[in-house]
Amino acid sequence: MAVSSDELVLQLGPLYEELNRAEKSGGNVAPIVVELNQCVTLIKLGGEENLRKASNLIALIRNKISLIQEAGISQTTYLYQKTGITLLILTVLGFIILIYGSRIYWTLWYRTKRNWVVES
Amino acid sequence: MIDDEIKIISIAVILAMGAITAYPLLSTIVIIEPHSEIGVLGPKGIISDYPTNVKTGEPINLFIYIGNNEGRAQYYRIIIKLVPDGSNNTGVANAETIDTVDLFLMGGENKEISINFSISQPKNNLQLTFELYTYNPEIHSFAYRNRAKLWLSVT
Repeated sequence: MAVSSDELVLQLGPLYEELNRAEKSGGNVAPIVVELNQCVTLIKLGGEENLRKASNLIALIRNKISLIQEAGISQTTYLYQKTGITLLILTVLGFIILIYGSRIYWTLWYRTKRNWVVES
Repeated sequence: MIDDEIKIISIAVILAMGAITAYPLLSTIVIIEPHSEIGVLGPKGIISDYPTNVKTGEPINLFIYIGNNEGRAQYYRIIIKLVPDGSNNTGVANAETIDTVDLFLMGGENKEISINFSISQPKNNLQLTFELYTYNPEIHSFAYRNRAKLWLSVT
């Protein structure tokens, strides 16, 4: 069934809303933006063939966006976990240095210099 | 004391490493003043050589510059209108639409779009108005944002 250009343009708004959600979840939407602009060009050109291509592209974009959103959520979760664990390790390391720093330093100093002979 | 100096240096190194670790996360939540830009460029794509007097039916070639500083991908609509001189409009003009351009831009991206059109009726002191709209997901519709203007006479 032939789709009119007006009907296709009306589908772009809800598609952008989905893209917006995918971007907020941390997904890379740059390739989708390129494809949406291709859709706009095809709709503007008009003609049955171009409108059919635009309709197919919209369906393809809709599928891709949900995958990008899922990937974005897992990437963001991984980033939060990685940052949290690293900051926790650095904090613990900081406390160890504050509490045992002097002892560690002088122990190392003694071990490296215990064979030294003092001559007068 | 020498061990105090070592302690300070070690803590400074740890703080620097912490800042480097947290930067990718902090950079995603930095809030900027969201805004979009629209500008009209002449036939050569620069801010000059704007047409001021054209003949009826004569092709007019211009470029529209759109800049996205919204901090996210944006769906734009530019509505080009012919507004008669003397119309006291400050926002959306109630006038004849000669073209509509839809465009998607990534956050931080900008683009120049070539537009070609002609005017069939002779009129003096027309305001060629380029209204910029952004799609607002909260209202599921386009919202007016800004505009650019060009004055011309058609003989």
